[in-house]
Amino acid sequence: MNIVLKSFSKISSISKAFFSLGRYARFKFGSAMLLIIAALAFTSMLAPPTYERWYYYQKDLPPQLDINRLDLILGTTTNGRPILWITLNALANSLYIGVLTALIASHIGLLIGLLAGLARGYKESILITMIDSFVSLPGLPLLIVLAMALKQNLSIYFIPLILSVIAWAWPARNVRSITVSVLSRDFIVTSSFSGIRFTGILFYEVLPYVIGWHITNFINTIIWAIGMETALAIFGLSILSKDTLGTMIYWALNYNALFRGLWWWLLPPVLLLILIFVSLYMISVSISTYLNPRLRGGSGR
Amino acid sequence: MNEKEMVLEAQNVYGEYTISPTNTVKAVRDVSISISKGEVVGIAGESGCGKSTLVKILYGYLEPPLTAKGNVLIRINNTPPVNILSLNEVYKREKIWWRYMSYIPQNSMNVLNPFMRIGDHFAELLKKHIGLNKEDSYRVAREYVESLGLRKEILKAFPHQLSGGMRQRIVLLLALMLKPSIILADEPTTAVDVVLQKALLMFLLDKQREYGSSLVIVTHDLGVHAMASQRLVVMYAGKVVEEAPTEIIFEDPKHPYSMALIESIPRIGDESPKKGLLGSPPDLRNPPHGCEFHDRCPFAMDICKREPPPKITYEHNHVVRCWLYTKR
Amino acid sequence: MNHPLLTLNRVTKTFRYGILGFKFKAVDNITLTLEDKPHIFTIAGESGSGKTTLAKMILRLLKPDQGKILFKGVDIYILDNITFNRNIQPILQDPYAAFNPMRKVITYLEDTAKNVLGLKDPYNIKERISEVLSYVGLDLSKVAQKYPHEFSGGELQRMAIARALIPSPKLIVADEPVSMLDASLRINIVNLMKKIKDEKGITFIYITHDLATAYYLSDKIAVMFRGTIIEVGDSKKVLSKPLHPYTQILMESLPQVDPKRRSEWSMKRPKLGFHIEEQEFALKGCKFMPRCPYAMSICKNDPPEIDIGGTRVRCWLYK
Repeated sequence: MNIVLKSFSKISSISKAFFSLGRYARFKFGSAMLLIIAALAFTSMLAPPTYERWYYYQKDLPPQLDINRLDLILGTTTNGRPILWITLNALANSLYIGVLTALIASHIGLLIGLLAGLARGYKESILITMIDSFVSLPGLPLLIVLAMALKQNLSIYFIPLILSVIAWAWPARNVRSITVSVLSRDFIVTSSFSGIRFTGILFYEVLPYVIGWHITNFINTIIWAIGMETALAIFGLSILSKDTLGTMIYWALNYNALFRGLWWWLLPPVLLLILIFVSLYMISVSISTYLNPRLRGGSGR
Repeated sequence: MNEKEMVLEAQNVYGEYTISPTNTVKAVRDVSISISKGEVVGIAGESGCGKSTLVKILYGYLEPPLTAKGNVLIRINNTPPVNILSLNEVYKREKIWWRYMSYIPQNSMNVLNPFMRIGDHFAELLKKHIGLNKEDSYRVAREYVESLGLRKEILKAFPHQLSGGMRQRIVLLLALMLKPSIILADEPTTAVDVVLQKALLMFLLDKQREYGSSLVIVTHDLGVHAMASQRLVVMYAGKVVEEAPTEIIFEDPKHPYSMALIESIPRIGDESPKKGLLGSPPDLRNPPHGCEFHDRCPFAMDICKREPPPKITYEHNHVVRCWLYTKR
Repeated sequence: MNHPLLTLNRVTKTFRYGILGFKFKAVDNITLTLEDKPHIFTIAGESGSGKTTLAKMILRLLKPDQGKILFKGVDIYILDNITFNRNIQPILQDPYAAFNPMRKVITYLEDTAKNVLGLKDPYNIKERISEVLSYVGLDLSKVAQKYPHEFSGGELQRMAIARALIPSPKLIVADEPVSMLDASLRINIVNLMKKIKDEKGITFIYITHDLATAYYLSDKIAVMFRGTIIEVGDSKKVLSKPLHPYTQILMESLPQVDPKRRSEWSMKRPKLGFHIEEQEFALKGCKFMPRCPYAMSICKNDPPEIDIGGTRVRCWLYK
């Protein structure tokens, strides 16, 4: 029962924090953009099933500003597919991959980081070695190799898994260093003499410091994952049968859209990528600014 | 005290820290003090009283968010006095700082440049102000350093290789190197052990006497003031509450705050129970209207809450700011 | 009362220092006994003396490399956590560091009441907390919602003392509890510690470098220098008539709070060492030899401990 009450007060303090975050201009701007992007992603569900069919519409059409033919507001590809629906779907898929990767990777990172911070002796050394090895792995080359090797199995669920292999290490490192620094502070002594043991110290003393970073890590991982998937896709190493912002660019380049002047095929994915990155970045930065203890009046007179 | 030659005089000085456009901390409020040639003046008070800010203003070290108002007149040699607060940074750096007036900041052990060897610190100073080349400055530095019991090998070391106490000594030496007429020392011995504290204080006083300089010692440690300062200025919440020759303040403190301070210090050989003050200093973002000490003062009267007390002068230049002494 | 309250038996702690891993003994073969009657025992020394390391070992924050620490005859590493926390509590130097800035300070008191004292009923918990808070001069209703930065230094240190009092420990280890407080507030905390010793019968280990408060507060004092206890005995005796040359120099260097005694103070100039700590630690024999005005050739050997009228000194001068 106590835990329910405690989590309730935690939730209310989180929502209080949310509202004070709203004071930051960057946060407002960023979340406004993000909401627009999310709304767009949702509208992808309205796509008519025909949008996947090749040559359903006339090919290579530039944007048609015609109320009757809303499908063609962004033109068509060389395969006669309406770019509007492709873009919206691509947006949804990219976001999906990004969020899924972040969910997996940042939480694995959180767990391992906490363990590495708490461990002592040989267990600590093993975990640190593991984390540092993965951090120093060259990300993109490894992903390229993995993606090439597992080409058949690539799906929208599998790509996040592959990306997580690389993405978990950096959050783990961050979380570990925060854990270690919190555990070296005086109030841990006070806590331990107040009868709080291992799990209690983790939950009540360490976690409040870690959570802030975890949220920032989460958002940054989304950005990273979308970027990585796009990079892989441009190499042709993503799921080419599905639309993501990356595969859109791939196909556009493949069909020489640049040289043929089909700007309406390249512009939407690039623009959306920029918008996603900027909005998520702003949210991430405003959260970490908010969490900066100097602004909170942490421990001072 | 005779009217000796004044070398540094603060007239109605105000100092503020700007936290935000609407919020400022009034750290120093209407302080006037004057320092004569060859005098050792102590500024006493606890954390938040404004003594460190006052010294920064005296030195002219106004780094944002610190702003200052008022006049700080400095008389160099026999030239007419100049207001430090009106000088620009470059002039201060070239002409006044280190040469005529030097400043030993708080926690000075961290003031040394971690990328420069100790010898280079000296060389930089000597080169800039006297124009010595590197060899000569190393030679001068070596002799100088050995006079405080440090070995010449120390010149080759980097600051982080030395202990805090040694770094404190180096900073002291650097400040005294060019024989300045005015030395401002902010808590010069707080972070060192008691034996080193005595050595540093004695060194500081020796040099002060030798050069005929004036010395301002800022510290909350009344023991240091008792042993070093000739005149004591007691500050509280940004204002000077009492000022008198050191012996007189210890014997006959008039302001309730000074009384409480002196009564609260335990002494070796004294077994009597001591009492301290309750409460804490006021928030200087919104300084109180009347006397700033009234909420903690055991003698507080009605008027103390409403009006700031006037200055009352006794013999021996003993000045108090307290309503207790207006009823004669 | 057969067992002494706290026994340190040949306790040693070695640290590594610097890039080359130079080893030195921060605490060197210390043997100390605290009787099981309420008193204030001061461990005095400058920085580098090992007093903080010793305090950490008593609090089980560091493990001695050699030797044992016994609480009432039992090795502290055998005691279970609850028993240990019920009997020994700390007061740390910086009250602002002693509490997590993200937690309300009262939560620590609640935790102590629940976990260490074992109270379960919220009414009992509140009552006990209220009791200790008013004992230290604080009001529960005024402090219940505050975070550490909302307290003044003196108040926060009182909260720390209140927390330590909750399980009614036998021993409180106070590591420089007043050095970060203003002078006028120090004496209040010091008086509080005296009151707690007198009224609650709790023994204090008071770690400090401030000999004046040590004189005022303590019953016994042990002076440490570079890891060894060089003089230990009744505090009024040791501080008025110091036997060991180091203690003598310390007492001479203390500034007198009386301007009339200035000339007396300025008479002797202390001999300064080069302060290369490794060299001092690496010395065989008496570590104070380089700075000792009475150094003899025999000081190259470890000086023995000699009892002079109840005070134990570690110096060849008294052989």
